Amino acid sequence: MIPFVLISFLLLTTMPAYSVATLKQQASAAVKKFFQVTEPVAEFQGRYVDTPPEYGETCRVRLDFSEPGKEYFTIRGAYTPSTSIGDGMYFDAPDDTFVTVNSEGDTLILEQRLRDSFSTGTHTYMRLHKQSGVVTVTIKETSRLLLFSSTQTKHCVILLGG
Amino acid sequence: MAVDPTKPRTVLVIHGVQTGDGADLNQHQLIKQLLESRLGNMPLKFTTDLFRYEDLNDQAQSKYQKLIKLIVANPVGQALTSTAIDLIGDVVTARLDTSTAAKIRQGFKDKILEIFDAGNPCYVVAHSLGSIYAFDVINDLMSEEAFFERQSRRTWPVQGLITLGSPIGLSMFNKGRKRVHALGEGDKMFRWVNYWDRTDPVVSGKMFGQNLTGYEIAEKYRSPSPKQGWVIRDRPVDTGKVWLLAHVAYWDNPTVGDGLFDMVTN
Repeated sequence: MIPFVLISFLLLTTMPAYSVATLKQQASAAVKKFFQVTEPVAEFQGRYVDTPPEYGETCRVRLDFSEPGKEYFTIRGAYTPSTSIGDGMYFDAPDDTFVTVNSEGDTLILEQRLRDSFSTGTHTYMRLHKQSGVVTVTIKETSRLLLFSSTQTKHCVILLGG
Repeated sequence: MAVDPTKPRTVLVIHGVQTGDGADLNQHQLIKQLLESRLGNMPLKFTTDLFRYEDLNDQAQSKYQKLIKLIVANPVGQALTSTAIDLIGDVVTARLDTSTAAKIRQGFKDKILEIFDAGNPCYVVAHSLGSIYAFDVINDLMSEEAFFERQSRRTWPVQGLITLGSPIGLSMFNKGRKRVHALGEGDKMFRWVNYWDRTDPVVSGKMFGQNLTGYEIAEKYRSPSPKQGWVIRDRPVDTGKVWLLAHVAYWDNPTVGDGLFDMVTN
């Protein structure tokens, strides 16, 4: 009986830990594969489409894998402050913040949820779609603070190899 | 352009966002009273000023402010005070990567440089969302060649930063802001003191406050590198108010006053 309980306990506690760690690694690997980058840092210039004009016209997608444990994949706009590396996926966050990695054909979907408390945090959804060398990166970010929440959606179109 | 330490200090206040127009804002007067109360008989010449951006922001946030007014109109909202709700709502709805936010940052930067050009040592006091604008603008100035030569405070357009009830510890702000701008070799230090009330929910994002022990807000930006050149401290205060009311109760707090006094006189 005791070995059975022990084995069950170990299975229950180690399996989720294994799977969430894998999800973060999967997300990181999927982004690299999607953009087919081999360099530690890659940047793509693009333009916002179907995005409120207050975010400006241009956007820049950056993949930075230069610092192990502090990798990120973000979008910056013309008005993003110089102190910010932008909105997107942060791989320095804990493993369990990654909730979705779904790659199907030319589409990659990523989701990350950063929680400050049960009522406060950010949820970032990114959809990447590739067609004829053109990538559309959609980012939908919801910020919540206590009673309030706000969502913004932006679409950045970039030309691979352009 | 250089700071003249014999000239009166200027304490420049940048507020959080709230409804009403710029004329309704008077936080610099509150800071003036607070500092005078801590000075006693010490003959320190100083002025206070306020950077107003509410009129600019109102245009961008009108739909959110309508929503906030609706919340304030119900019994729960009335129990909380409209000011606190305004501030919290605006923290979450403010977009810092928009043209409006860029105009606010530029306006604040221009105001700092105006004080710098006049030669007055400038100290920034930033409340709530204003602390994010202050963080962005000060770091941006540090990245420019013309300013913040580490060994010469005369080249520093801002001599020190005090933040009150800052949401910079929340993921929505700090996930993209990973570090402060390093000043390089030298031994002069830029000071940033962050005051927070443990029950202020805008600071922690928690409904019922945050424990004091082991909770880092600004101190997350400390670096062991001697080239960073920043002294960063979190200072918990007891404003005597709780929850949302604590977020708007820093302006007459003696601990904040003593910290400001210490910063402008040393």
